[in-house]
Amino acid sequence: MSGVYDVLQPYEAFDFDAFWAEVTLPEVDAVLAKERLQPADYLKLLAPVAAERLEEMARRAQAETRKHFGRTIQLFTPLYVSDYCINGCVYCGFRHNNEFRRRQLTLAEVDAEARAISRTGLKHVLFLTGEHPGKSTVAYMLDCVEVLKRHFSSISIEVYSLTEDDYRALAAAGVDGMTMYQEVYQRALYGPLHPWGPKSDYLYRLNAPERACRGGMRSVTVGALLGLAPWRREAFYTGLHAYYLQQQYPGTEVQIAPPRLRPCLGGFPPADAVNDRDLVQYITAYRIFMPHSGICVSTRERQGLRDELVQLGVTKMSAGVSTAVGGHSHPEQEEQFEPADGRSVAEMAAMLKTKGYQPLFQDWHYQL
Amino acid sequence: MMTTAWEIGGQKLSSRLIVGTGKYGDQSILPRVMAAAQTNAVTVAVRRINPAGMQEHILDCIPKGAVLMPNTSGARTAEEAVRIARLARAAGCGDWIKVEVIADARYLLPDNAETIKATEQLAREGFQVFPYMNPDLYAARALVAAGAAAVMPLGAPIGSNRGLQTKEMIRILLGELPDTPVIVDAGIGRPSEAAEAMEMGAAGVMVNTAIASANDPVLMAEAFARAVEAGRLAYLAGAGARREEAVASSPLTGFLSREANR
Amino acid sequence: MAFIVNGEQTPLPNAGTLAGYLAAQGLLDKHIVIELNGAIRRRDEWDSILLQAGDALEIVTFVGGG
Repeated sequence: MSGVYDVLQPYEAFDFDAFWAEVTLPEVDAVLAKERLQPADYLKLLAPVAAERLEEMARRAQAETRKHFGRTIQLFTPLYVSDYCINGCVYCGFRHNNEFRRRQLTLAEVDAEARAISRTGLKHVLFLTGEHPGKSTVAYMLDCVEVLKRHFSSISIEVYSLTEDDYRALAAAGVDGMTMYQEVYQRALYGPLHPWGPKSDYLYRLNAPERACRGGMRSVTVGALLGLAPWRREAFYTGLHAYYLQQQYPGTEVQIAPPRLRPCLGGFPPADAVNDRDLVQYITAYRIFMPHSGICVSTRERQGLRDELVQLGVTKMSAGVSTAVGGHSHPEQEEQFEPADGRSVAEMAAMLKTKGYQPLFQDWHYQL
Repeated sequence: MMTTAWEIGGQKLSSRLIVGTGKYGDQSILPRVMAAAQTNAVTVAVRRINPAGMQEHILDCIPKGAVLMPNTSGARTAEEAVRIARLARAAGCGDWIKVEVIADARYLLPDNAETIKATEQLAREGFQVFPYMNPDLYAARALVAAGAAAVMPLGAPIGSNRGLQTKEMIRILLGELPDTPVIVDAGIGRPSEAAEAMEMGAAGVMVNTAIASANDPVLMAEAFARAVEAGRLAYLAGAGARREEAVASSPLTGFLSREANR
Repeated sequence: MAFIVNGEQTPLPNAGTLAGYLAAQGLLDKHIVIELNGAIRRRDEWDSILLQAGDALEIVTFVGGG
C-alpha cells in the first residue's frame, strides 16, 4: 500500500453513472438493513434512486449519531492567521492573482484574535493559513500554537500540505487535529482547477492526511469542495478516503466535512449543482457508512439548513465565524468566502439547546 | 459439501467444522464422528506417553490424510507453548499448531499476552499458528500482525457449553478484521450456536465437548455438520431487508420540500 | 545409575543407545517424539545417541484433545 490513491485509482475508469442507473430500491433497502456497511454499500446509498429513501436514511443516521455521539455538537471557530498564497486555485478568494491587501498576523495580533474568540466561550479553534511557505512557515505556525495554547484547549490546523516531520512537530507542540480538503478527488478534473503553485501536486496533497496520521495527529478531517466536480463521485471518494484512514490508523479520529462552494472574490460558478436534498443524502449516507466518524458543517451553509442538519448526523459546527484574517478583531479584511450563517456562539448554543442538543465547548485538552 | 470446502493454513479442508478429539470415553468412535461431521481436520494434544495407553493410539483413530491441529494445552507461558509446538511438529504430521496458553485452572481462559508472544515466535519458525484467544480487538490485531493464520476467539469458557457469550466481541473482530479467518472455538454447546457463529461470518467453528459429551456423539456430529453448513449458506445468501419501524409522522427531511432547493 | 524419563527417576540400562532403550520399552515403532536434555532429537539420530546418567528424557505423543 503506497497510499490512499491505490484505493481510489481503480475507480478513475469506473462508470459511476451506469452503476447508479442499475441500483434498485430493494437493493437500497437491503443496504439500510445491514448493520455494517462496506464501501460498495455506501456507493449504492449515493445513487440518485436512494434519495427516495431519504427519510429512512435520515432516521438511521440520527439513530447512529445518537448512539455514538449522543445529542451533542462540538463548537469551534476558524482563525485565519494569514491570507498570503502562491497558488492559483481558480475558485478561491485568496488565490495569488486576486488583488487585495494581504495580511499575516503578528503573534501579538494572533493573541488579540484569540482573546476575542475566547471571550465567546469557545475552547476549540482551527487556525488557517494560505499557502506561502516563505511567509507562513512551520516555525511561524509553531509560534502561533504557543500563543493559542494560552487560550484554547484544542487546536487544529488547516494549512498547506506539510511533511510527516512537520506534522510530528506540530503534534508534539499541541496541535491535535488537521483538516485537509482535497477539493477535487477526481484526478482528471483536479489539474485545471489548480493550474499552478504547489497545490497543483494532486498526490502530495492527497497523502497529507496520511502523513499527519503517521506524525501523530489525533484527528484528521478530509473532504471535497462540493460543486467543483460531480458531487456523488466526490462524496464516494471522500468516504473511501476516510474509510482508508480509519482502517490504516485505527487510533486516529477521522472526520469529514462536506463544504459547498460559496460566493467569493473573483466569483467562480459551480460546475455541479448540489442542492440541499443532495447534501442531506451525502451526510446521512456517510453517517450510516461510518458511524463513528465526525461530520463537520461550516458557515458555508445558511442558518435554516444548519439548524435542520443538527439532527441528521452532524457532530461539529462553527460559530461566531469570520473568514478574514484577524476578522474577529478587524472585520474590514477580505474574506476567503462569504459566510451564510453569521450567528454568534451564544446564538448557536441557544439554537442547539432548543433542539435538545448540548453544545460542547471543550471535548479535549492538548495536555492529555 | 461444496459450499463449505475452504483453504486455510496451506491446507484444503472439506468442512468449516473442526472437531476436537478429547473427552471421549472410547476413542474408537472417532472415525465415525469425523465421518458424520464431514470434516478432515481435528485437534489433538501433546502429552507424555502412557505406556499402557500406547495400544490404541489416537492417530490410529484418525483417518490418514486428515489435517492435524495439535494444541499446546498444558502450557501456562509462551515459552512452554513454544516448546510443545516444536515437539508437536517433530512428530512429522504437519506444521499447524493451536496456541493455547492457559494459566487459570478454573475457567481455562487463555492468556492473550502470552499467546501473542508464542504466536510471534512460532510464526517466525514457520508454523501455521492458530491462536486460541479471549476475543479482544487489540489482541486480535497483534496476533494478525504476528503472522497468525487465523484467530480463534472463545465463545464461552472451555467445556461450558454456554454458547456465544462473547457474541458482541466476536462481531467486532469480524467487522474489524475482514481479511482474517475467525474460527470460533470453545463454548459452543449446540448446533444452533454453531449456525449462529457461521451466520455472523465466522470462517469456521471448533467443537469438542458438545459432541464428545452427547449421548450419541455420532448423531450430534452430524447435527453440527448440518448446522455449520446452514449457517454458512445463510451468510453467503445475505439476510434480506427488514423494515422494522413505520415512518413517523414528523419526518426529519420534511424541511427539504418546504423550502425551495438551492 | 539413573536417568529421568518423563519426570521419573529410572534405572539406566548398561551401554545403551536411545534406540535400544526405546525398543526395550516397545516404543520404537510407535508415533513418539523425543526430547533429550531439552533438545528435540530426530528419529534418525536415536541409533547414535548414548544415554548417560542424569539425562532428562521426555517421550511425548499425540493424545485426544480439544
